[in-house]
Amino acid sequence: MAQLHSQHQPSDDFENAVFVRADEPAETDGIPITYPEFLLCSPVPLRMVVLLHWRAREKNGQPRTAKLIWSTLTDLGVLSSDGESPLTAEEVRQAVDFLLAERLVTPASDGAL
Amino acid sequence: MTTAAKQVHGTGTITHRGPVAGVQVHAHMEFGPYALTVPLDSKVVIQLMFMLAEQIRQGPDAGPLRVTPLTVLERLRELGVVSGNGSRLVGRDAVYESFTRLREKGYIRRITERDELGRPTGTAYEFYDWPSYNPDAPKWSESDSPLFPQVSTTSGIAGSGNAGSEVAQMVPNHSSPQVSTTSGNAGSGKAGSGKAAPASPQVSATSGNAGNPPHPPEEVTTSSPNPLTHTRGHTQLPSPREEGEGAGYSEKDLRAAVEVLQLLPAPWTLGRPNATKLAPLLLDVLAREGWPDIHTVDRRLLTKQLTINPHKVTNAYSLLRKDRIPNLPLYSAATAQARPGQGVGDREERCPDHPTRYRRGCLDCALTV
Repeated sequence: MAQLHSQHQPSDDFENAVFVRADEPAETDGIPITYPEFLLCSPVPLRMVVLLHWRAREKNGQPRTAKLIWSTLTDLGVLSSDGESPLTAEEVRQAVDFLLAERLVTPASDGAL
Repeated sequence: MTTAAKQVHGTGTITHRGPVAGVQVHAHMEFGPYALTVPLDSKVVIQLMFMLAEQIRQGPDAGPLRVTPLTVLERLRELGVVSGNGSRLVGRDAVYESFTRLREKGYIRRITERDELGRPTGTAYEFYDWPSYNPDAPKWSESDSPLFPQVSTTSGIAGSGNAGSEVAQMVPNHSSPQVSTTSGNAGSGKAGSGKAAPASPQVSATSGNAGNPPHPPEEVTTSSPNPLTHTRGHTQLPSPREEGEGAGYSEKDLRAAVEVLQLLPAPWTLGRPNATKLAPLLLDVLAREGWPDIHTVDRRLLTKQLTINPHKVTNAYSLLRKDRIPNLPLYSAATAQARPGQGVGDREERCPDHPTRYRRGCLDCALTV
């Protein structure tokens, strides 16, 4: 948690007290996305969605496969790129293939895809 | 002083330009009631986060970057974002429909600007990366989202559920602080410069500028125009679902939805006018939550979900409009409830050709397995 520490000296009045941030609050829930990653994933919006879920699983130490991500997305009600059709496993697999090819994600340590 | 040194003006102001390295995408954008279920919506939200951060970085007097639905559309097209079928660049309708969905989710708030006499003078939009702080966002209570009690309308806590294939895995992370750092600021390239470029290894992941925790919404004075949104030509966002209820659905779909609503048991039964008003909303939510289409949906299951807990129903139309239809559970959750004997392990048994159904519950699949 961020804390503010006052370097207030007894001889100072309150207005001269200097506040400094003792530490930066930790990001606990966010998934970082860099601008180059955003650009690379741009043409097909589903790639970004899959990237986010891949990283969420990575962060939580969960297995990362196209099928598992597809299953999660389907359970969450995520739709296909057309915004209407049900998401297919093939779409997710293609997105994962792209992310791996571009080295935006790395396979799990056991190599399972 | 050397010649090279003389070329530098010691008092020239230095301002920050160019892309910021990254943004933080919050868990509540992926999980829980505020989850973005259409890939384009995620893209638009992240695009907005980059553009708005760039706007902040440039400062209010820099001028060239205005963030409007139109400039977002232009930026997405510059980035090469394609339409759903992949055949062409994304179009205006698709992006504006995305804005409409984001507004319904609470990520976007529409503000009608008014003059001193209260007459409408224009439209502006507010972007909330924490929808729970949007006063106009749909409100979720713990009972609405038992899996994500941390997503609160008062605390604005982001869902931090684990990415899992099973509902049971998406439990809140109680160890997370209730108020985590927001995404901070991040920016993208200058407006109009958005050519896709190869990943730059020197641009590493970053948390951006440490942001402040989300704060409660302040009162919006709609008669005080926002200087950043005084671009009337750019901020007008058509809202087809407001201006023409039912837009985008066939007469056949709407008739079927009206019929479902008219056939709800007492005290939920609606007359045709009210059922007609709610039909597009019902179709929206069915699609959003992964239900089969209105013609093939199990009506008993749908009716059961819409009419659950019928105590103290005094205004069925209002309750359906504000609560029951918007809070319709995911189809997978509804079917799991309907088949209590079925374990979560069966979630892995979904049919790839019929993703909204389980193998055991799908007649088509059952006939082919």
